[in-house]
Amino acid sequence: MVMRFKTISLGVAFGVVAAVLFAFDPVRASIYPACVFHRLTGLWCPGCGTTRALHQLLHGNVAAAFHFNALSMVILPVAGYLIVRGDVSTLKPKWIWALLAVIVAFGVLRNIPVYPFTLLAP
Amino acid sequence: MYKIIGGDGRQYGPVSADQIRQWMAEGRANALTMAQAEGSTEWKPLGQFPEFAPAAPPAGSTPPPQTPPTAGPTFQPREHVPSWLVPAILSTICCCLPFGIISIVYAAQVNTKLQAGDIHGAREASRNAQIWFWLAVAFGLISMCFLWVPFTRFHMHRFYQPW
Repeated sequence: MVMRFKTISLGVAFGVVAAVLFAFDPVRASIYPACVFHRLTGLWCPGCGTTRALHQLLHGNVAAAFHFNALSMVILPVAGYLIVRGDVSTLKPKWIWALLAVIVAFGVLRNIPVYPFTLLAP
Repeated sequence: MYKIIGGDGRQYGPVSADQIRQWMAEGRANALTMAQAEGSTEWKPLGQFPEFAPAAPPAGSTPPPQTPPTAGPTFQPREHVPSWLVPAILSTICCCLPFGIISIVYAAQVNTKLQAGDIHGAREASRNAQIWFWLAVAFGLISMCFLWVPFTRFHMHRFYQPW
């Protein structure tokens, strides 16, 4: 019963967030909260561009989604797989460390203001 | 590291050799328990692994002789310790905070310790992963509210969201 309530409320929240993301483009509408890290430091964090990317993804523009945040587009299916898999405790630790390294590396590289890396910035 | 098939027919592991020896000493696994060494695809009884042969009581000499462990629930399932991995990843991406990264580090430690059979260490790391995840969420929400409400109200037209 508790599990079912949890599943339903999570599903409803997911649907509402998806509908808002579909309807309002974060580039134009300022209803979305700003990234604190970016506001404080001026640097791009690994997650910056995710709401814009999700908006583009919901409209079917995969290339635009990757442009805004390639990392979250990669993490999305990974997180989906982990949720479906359920028990993540049998996952080999080296995969978790690899994932952490990818997140940190992405956050560093997208702040380098030289050509190939500027592609990673939103 | 080894995978092992319990008395309930389910697969457990990967676990360390020491953990398997302990299970054998506790009678939860025996020489007939099927196991698979990491990197190999072959399942064979523990008695056929040279590294476990001395620890294994010869099958047949134990009071219920020749009872394969798959016949009864001799093997208790491992305690479930949540690693908070998925919440940790999502909070790192969505809250842009170092707290999420600390949470991922603890989530990795949960798996390392669990697979080494250190259940207490795993529980400890799990609790830390949980604490840092909620800190990331709380800190993210509070600071977002500080930045969000005034800017959307007074700078609706010229404030472009950087996120």
